[in-house]
This record gives sequence, structure tokens and C-alpha cells, in this order.
Amino acid sequence: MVLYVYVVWSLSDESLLAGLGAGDSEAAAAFVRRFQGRVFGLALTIVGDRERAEDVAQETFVRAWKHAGAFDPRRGGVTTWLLTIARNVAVDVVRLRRHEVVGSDVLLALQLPSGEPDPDERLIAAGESERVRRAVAILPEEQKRALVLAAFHGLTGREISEREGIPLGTVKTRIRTAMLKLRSALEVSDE
Amino acid sequence: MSERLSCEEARALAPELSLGSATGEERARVLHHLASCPDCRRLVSELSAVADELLLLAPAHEPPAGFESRVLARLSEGKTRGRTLRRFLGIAAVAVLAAAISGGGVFWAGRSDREVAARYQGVLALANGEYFSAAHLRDIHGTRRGLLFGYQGDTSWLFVSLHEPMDPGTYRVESMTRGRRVVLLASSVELSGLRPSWGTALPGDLHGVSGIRIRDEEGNRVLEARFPGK
Repeated sequence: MVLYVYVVWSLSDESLLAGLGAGDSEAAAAFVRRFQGRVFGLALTIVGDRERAEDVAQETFVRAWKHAGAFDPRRGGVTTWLLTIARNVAVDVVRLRRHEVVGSDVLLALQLPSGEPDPDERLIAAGESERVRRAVAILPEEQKRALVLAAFHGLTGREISEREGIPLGTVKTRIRTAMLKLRSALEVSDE
Repeated sequence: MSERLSCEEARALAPELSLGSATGEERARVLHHLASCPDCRRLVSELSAVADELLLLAPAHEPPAGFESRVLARLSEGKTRGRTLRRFLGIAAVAVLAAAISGGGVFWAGRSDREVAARYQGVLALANGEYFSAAHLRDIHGTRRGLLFGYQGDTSWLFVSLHEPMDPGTYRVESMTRGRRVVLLASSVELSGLRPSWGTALPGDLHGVSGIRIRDEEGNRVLEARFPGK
């Protein structure tokens, strides 16, 4: 048993996800422990309070379990797949309380990250996140803000335009320009 | 759906689509274009990878104590509920039949009322239920787009069956109570498959549910059904 637990803990993200999907309780525990900091952190960044963030994070893991079979490693890693689920759940929650959306808090949280990830998590994603952070850092503030409101709050161009009091065309241009710059900086290719 | 987008128009919307912030209509139009344009599909794929990576910017935070065990408890509960729900969704097929009965459906034309009632009661007895109900799902123009079935029993449930696919995207399903309270039943429901349907076990009784509303990603009400007499 001890050996089995050790083996489970050393499995790749993909293997743990497969185990979660198959209903393996050890794999499920290892999966949750490996990703809970990142998932809860993203949820907290978006919804802004710990109670709702926990609801979001719990729902994220339930959906990951339900949809584990749909994960396609050709389209990205387990971390980003899981965070995308968390983001969508969190955006749903925020949308139900639209009047409470405070995008600037998200921006602050991203610029001044607080909270130490587990050493295990640092190994998983520190390299990736630092690369993205550097790429985003070079964007002009107004592009950064539009991008964050769209990416983390799922606000449409029109909603950002209304919130920020700027023309819709300007919002769309800022988002488009920012995304194309990031694609170039991160050298994303679909090859 | 509006006319087909040009590549230029699709590319202009690609960043918002990738970020998950396009409106329902924009999303549907771009996806329609992507179905036959590999170049734009590649662009969206690349931008989606960027959007995914942006989420890595959120700092990690330790969740509250006991989080892991609460998640594992939900997974364990979900396994049980999943089995139960599948069983009940199987019964939904029977509900379709029962609804056809109550609506004077053609399947049962010519049968005596007594025979129909006996079959209906037999189904309820088998499933330890009290009653079935059904209502038309209508769009904002009042056009019938599908059916909502409800079952009151040991586990009460709802089942939605649409006549034709909705636009691509995800939908939110809310139940309305007699006290006009709105309860979110599910978010991110996909109804664009060939034979769209969706079902869920209700957290409470069907008695208190007057109907459901289905909203698009923008929060717009796209379909609504109200049970008779509620």
C-alpha cells in the first residue's frame, strides 16, 4: 500500500487525471493535492472571497473528474486544462453577481502575487507562469487591463466598454493587439 | 443565424473567442466560419493556447483546511449520484411516454382511459413516484422548441428535450419556484448536439418548482417552460 501511494504521488499529471477519471481514490487524492493551490488561487483571484472560491474550486475538481475522458494532451497540459475549467466556473459565479465585479482587484492580484505555492506546484508551473508574466509585463497598462477583464472575468467587449467608459472599437483593438503580442512573445504555434 | 463571416471578420473576433469573452452570437458566427477555414482555425487554436497560459498568472493560494477531504467526499457522492441519475434519466424515457399520455399523445390514441391510467400508475409504482409533469419549452417569441419533463418521487428530477440543436455555446439552466425564487441548476450546459437533451436530479421536490429558464452565455433568457397550474 505504501509503495502504491508512493507510486501514485510520482505519477505524471496526465496519469493522475486518468486515475481520477477512472475513480481511483488514491489518484484522486494526489490529483487534488497537487493542483488545489493553483485552482483555489485562480478562483480566489476571480471571485474575491475565500468562501465562494472554495465552492468554485470544489466544483472544478468535480468537473475534472466528470470530464477527465475529454482531456486531450495535444491541446495543452493538465494544469491549463484544469485552470480553464476553474476560470469558467468562477466566471459563472461572478456573472450571477455582476454588480460585484471588480476587475482592478484581479489586476492587482496578478501584478502583486501573494501566497506561496507548494514546492510541488512550483516545480510544475513556475517556469511557465514566469514566462507568461514577463510577456504580459511588457504590455501597455490599458491593454493589460482590457485583457484581464476579458480573460479573468469573461467580460465581453461591450461590457468592458461600458465599465471603463471607452469606445467599443478601442476595447476590441486593445484586446486584439495584446493577444497578438502575447502570441508572438510566447511563440505559440499550432504546428 | 446571420450571414457567414469573412476571414477578416472572423480574425477580428478570434481573440475574444479564445478568451471566452465573445458574445453568444459572435461565438456562434465565428465557430460557423471555423468549420470550413483551416487558417482561421489555426489562429484561434494559437490564441486559445495564449489565453490558457494567461490563467497561470493567478497566484496559488492554499485552500481552507479540510478542502481536500471535502472534494473527495463530493467525488464519492458524485459517483453514487451519477449512477442514480443515469438510472433516473432512463426513466425519463418513460416520462416521455407518460407526458404523451397526459397530452393526449398519438401513441395512445385508441386506448381506453383505464388502460392508460393503469400503465401510468404502474410506472409510478415501479419508480416509487407520485406524478409526472410536462411543459413546452418556448423561445422568447413563444415558439415551441422542446419539452420539459418533471418527476416527483424519491429522487425528483427534470429532463429537457429539444426538437433541434441550439446555437453552439454553453447555457445556464435555472429553476423557478412558486415563491419566485430562482435556483441555478447548472451552468455550462451544451445543447448544440444533434439530439440535445439534459437532465438533473433536483435538490428538493418537484412540488416547489414552477418551471425552468435557460439562459445563454450573455445571461439572456432563450427558453422557458412552466408546468401546468404553476
